Amino acid sequence: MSDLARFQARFARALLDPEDDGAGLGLGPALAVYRNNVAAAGVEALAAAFPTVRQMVGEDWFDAAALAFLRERPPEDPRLSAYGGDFPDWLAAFPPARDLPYLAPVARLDRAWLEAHLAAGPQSPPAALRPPADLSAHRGTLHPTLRLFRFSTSVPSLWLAHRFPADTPGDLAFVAADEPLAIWRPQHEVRARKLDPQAYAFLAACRDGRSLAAARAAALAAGPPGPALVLAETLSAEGLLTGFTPLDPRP
Amino acid sequence: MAARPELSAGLGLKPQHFAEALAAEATGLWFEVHAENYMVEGGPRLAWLEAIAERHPLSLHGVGLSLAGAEPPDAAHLERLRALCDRFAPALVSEHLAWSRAGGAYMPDLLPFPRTREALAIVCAHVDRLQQALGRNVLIENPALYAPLAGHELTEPDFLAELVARTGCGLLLDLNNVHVSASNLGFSARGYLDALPLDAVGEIHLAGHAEDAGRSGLLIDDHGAPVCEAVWALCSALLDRTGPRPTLIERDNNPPSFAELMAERDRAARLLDQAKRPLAAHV
Repeated sequence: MSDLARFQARFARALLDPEDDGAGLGLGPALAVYRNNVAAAGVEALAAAFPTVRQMVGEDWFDAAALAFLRERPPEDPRLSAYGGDFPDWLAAFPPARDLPYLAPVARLDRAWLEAHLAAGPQSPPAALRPPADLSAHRGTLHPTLRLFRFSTSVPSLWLAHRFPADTPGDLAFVAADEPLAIWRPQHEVRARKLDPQAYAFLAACRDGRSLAAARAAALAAGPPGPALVLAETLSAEGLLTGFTPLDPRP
Repeated sequence: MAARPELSAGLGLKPQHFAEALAAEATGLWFEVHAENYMVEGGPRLAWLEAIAERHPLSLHGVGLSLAGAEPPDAAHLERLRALCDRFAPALVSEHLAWSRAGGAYMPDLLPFPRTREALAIVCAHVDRLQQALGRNVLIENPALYAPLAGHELTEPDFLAELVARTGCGLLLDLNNVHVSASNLGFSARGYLDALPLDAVGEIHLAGHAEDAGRSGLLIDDHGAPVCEAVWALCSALLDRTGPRPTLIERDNNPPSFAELMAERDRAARLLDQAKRPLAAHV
């Protein structure tokens, strides 16, 4: 190991451990400056990535949790916009969050929003599409940025009320509920909305590679008829569905 | 092929100013971004950058390659930087004389190291690797320092001069960093400039700083304030020696309105215009 490597390994340990006195580094008061810079940058990245969580628990609680996460799981990569992929799972096991069972699921949705925001996707606007005549020979393709969820609690409603306050009523409770949710970026802005049972069943069938006929049957089974008949058109108008591909004819 | 527009004074580009940056009109205006912020798969920020880059020259400023790290630059990161360069054909590409990676962790800061001959050889190898990967020369930025550190075998100007001589890279001279380091370590900013290979300066950064809230007496390079008069004075003195160089107003932290940033940028542009004209004969 070169002298440089030794110095840097020692420095990195001192940066991430607030109990470390920095002996041997010769930094003096500068160690606190560098520690502060690292902490501020890491916490700022997590705050930007998990704004709903931060809103729900307040800045002080969040920043303390973010700092603990940073010290335990520092970034591995300079793409700070994407830092915090395992923050939701870490929060689920974080003792101070024990009494906030909605927090880790909300963090997962914040993460999904971020991933949809940064994902590759078509630049053209969505358009309503009519499905081909032979539904059993085709399947629907979903928007590449789509993240599909089905929660058994009101976490989607809570998250939407914070994230898109103009669209949703405020002050909701954390209760048991059947709440499917879509998060996707049809063009430039991330969109999110709860899905009715038919739409969810249709999209889930498409996600699973099933034929349009099977998807439509699943939608019909999930709720009353009517909307299911024009699902392909309405979902493509929103950009959730982006096209139709022939199914592999092999048995 | 049309000649590349001459770069005068530029601004660091912030997302909240995308629309204004796109619409801005000013001779020689250019924009700089942190490369890592655009190493994403897709989405609106890339679309904005494409639009802005069509109208104004772009500079890619890397912060995370850890060129002074003992570990070699991350190959995937280099590849992402190369892809960005290919896509945007930036007028300038730069990185830092600093490290940030060790033991699998990336520390989001620009960290110092003892300037030994061993370190020099390592940094030269890494800059060579970077320039080869990109197929172009890069500019290396001088750091803001908060501690003298022990074990130096070279002064910073000598280290940078060797780096330039051995790799053919240029320098990104951050005058706020010179001012902050000089204040923190007790050396002369003018003396530092005198010892640098000024011909190698390809870009100038101007930024603001703050006093350490921790009351250490240190100045912190936080890019959160307007450029101070001492730094403007250093800039004038430098331009007298080098002539005009692309000069960036770097305000990353809590930036003010775009109009305010442009006003600061315009002051830099005027300095650059004055630097073009030969000094009047002294009577």
